[in-house]
Amino acid sequence: MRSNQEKREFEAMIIKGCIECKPKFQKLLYSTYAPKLFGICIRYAKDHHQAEDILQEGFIKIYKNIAKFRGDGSFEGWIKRIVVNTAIEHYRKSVSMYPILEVENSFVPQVSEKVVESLAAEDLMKLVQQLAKGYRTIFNLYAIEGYSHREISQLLGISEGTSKSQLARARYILQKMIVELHKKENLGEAYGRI
Amino acid sequence: MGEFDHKFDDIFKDGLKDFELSPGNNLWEGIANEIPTKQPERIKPVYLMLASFIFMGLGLVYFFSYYSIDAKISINKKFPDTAIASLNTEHIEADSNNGLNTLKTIKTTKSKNFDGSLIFDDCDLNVKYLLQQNNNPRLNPSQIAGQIESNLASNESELLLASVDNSKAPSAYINKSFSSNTEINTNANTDLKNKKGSLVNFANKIKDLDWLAFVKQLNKYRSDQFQLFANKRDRNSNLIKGYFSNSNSNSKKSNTNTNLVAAEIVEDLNNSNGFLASNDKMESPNHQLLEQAEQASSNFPLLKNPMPSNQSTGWYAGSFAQYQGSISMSKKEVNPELTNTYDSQIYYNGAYGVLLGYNFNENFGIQTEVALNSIQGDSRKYSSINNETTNILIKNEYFKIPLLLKYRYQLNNNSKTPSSISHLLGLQYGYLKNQEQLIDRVAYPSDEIPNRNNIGIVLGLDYNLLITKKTTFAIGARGTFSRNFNSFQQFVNFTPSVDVLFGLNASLRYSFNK
Repeated sequence: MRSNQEKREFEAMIIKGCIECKPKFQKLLYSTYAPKLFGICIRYAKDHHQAEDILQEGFIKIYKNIAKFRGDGSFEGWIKRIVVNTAIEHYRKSVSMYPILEVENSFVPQVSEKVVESLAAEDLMKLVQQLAKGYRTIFNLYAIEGYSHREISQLLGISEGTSKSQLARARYILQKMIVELHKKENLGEAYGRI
Repeated sequence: MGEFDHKFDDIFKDGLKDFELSPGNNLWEGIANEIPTKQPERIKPVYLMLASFIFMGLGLVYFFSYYSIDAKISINKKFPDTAIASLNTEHIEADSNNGLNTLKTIKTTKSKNFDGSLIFDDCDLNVKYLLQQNNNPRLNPSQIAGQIESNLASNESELLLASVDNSKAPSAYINKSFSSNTEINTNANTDLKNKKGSLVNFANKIKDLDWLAFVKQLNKYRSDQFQLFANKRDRNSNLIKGYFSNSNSNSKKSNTNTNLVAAEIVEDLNNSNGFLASNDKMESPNHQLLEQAEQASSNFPLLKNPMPSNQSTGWYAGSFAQYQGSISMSKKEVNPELTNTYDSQIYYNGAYGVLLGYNFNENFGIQTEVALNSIQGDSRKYSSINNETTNILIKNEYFKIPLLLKYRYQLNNNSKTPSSISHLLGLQYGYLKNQEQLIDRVAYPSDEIPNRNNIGIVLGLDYNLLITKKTTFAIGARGTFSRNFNSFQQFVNFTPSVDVLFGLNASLRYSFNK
């Protein structure tokens, strides 16, 4: 485990090497950050194939623009933002207009916190991937990346109201899927006992 | 938002924030094929600005050093009879140890065209008074020296020098005699056009001139035009300088009369009145006649210093540096629900490039340029409905090629460094090489640029100084009104905009014409 100082020096070495276009450091950058960045891509993509496309584009942008990194903030944060923005570009290419969908107020699925906490990271990822891309993007940006509705509205060119309503809709769908998943698991356990 | 929603989000955040997964093994190969393996380090703008200031500074130093030639003239203290004069960039030494009629070859350090011989008679006085006398408003001695030099700088001029006493001048150089009056008769046998280095001698009335410089130059009608400079001492030992001119002749064989048309006292022991030197009134004070002479001298080619013909026509090339500011004039915002106001701000940067031009004649020409690093910034400060501000800077790096029509006219014909003003008007094509977006100072690459074209109108004004016979230093201003078609859409949607750019530039140009 590297200390913060060691991490900064390591990053500075990689950045310098990549600016000088040295293949050794380019490969080092990839092998260091690819798993983390692919974890982001997979959240925004519908499948592995699309996630790899986003990651490839994101890395190419990182290499081409690494000289512009000013060192004001975290390097890891900078490359993550580039990958997130690449994912947003992908999303925007595929969606010409944002569908404005109203939240169904009639039913809010009751799912316990305990049930949600019991889910493994892989399960959570599968659930997020099953969301429609609009909901998936906004849920990722708000709940996981920590963007505000104002920032999301700027990034996606939508209103803050739309961002809020789509987030609520995303939560609703996720909860519904968790309830259904839980039901299936309970049934399975019951059959198992029989 | 409810507490449950918070906790619900946090569960996903904790589970997925640092979620890692290895991509396919072949992905790196795809990336490695797309990224540059070797990239020249970008020159920092501060170095470009520094270089442009050094460039302009050197130009100014060159400019002012050119005007400081008078200060370089000195009398050699160790050998009082020796004068050292630096005219422009040439170093001239002459001594008069042998008194009158000493013939001394000029030593030049730079000019290859200066192949004549010069006689300095009594040079400790003559050079001193001729070249150091600066307080005479009618005739600045350095003007004479500079005039000789600048005329010699032209390939179409030659210097012909005369000794005072023809009896001691080397006979091999004597190919012309003056008549007994002040007229110089140039008949068929004394055509000087192709006789460089010839010495002419003087007849009776003007033989007491200390020395005389005789410059032959082709005028714009392609006929010979003679200019002469001389000084003498009158019987009261007053030092007198004279201007001579000839009437132009379009025919090689026709006679050309050269007359002393003006003279004035440089070192006046008795009074400060001037002379007009006509044939018979050479030494008669006559202020009225002097004024007439001055008036006549306004048309007198002696003090005219036209732009050398090699600068008037033909090809030239050079480089330039420009400090420029740009602003977007577009006020349209696609996404009004995001913001309520924004302010456009001026963005400054330095650009540099090369230029190529062709002068059709003394007035008209064309010029094209390639600006290699012209960055136009679209700097906007957004105020949201909640009064929160967001700073967005779009930096568009262009490769610009203007094609300009040029009209120029000369300003100061009498100066040693002819200068001119050029007016420029033309169209400009810009190609967007690179775009960078900074949102609150965080840089985002933008590869998705729908249209990279930029079309504009350019207006310009240049002040040109001829610093050597083939080199021009110019300072000027430019204004560009252009249409930017690259509607970028990555984060915030903008419409194509009209941009205004203004800049101050400096350039150094070299003329290829011989």
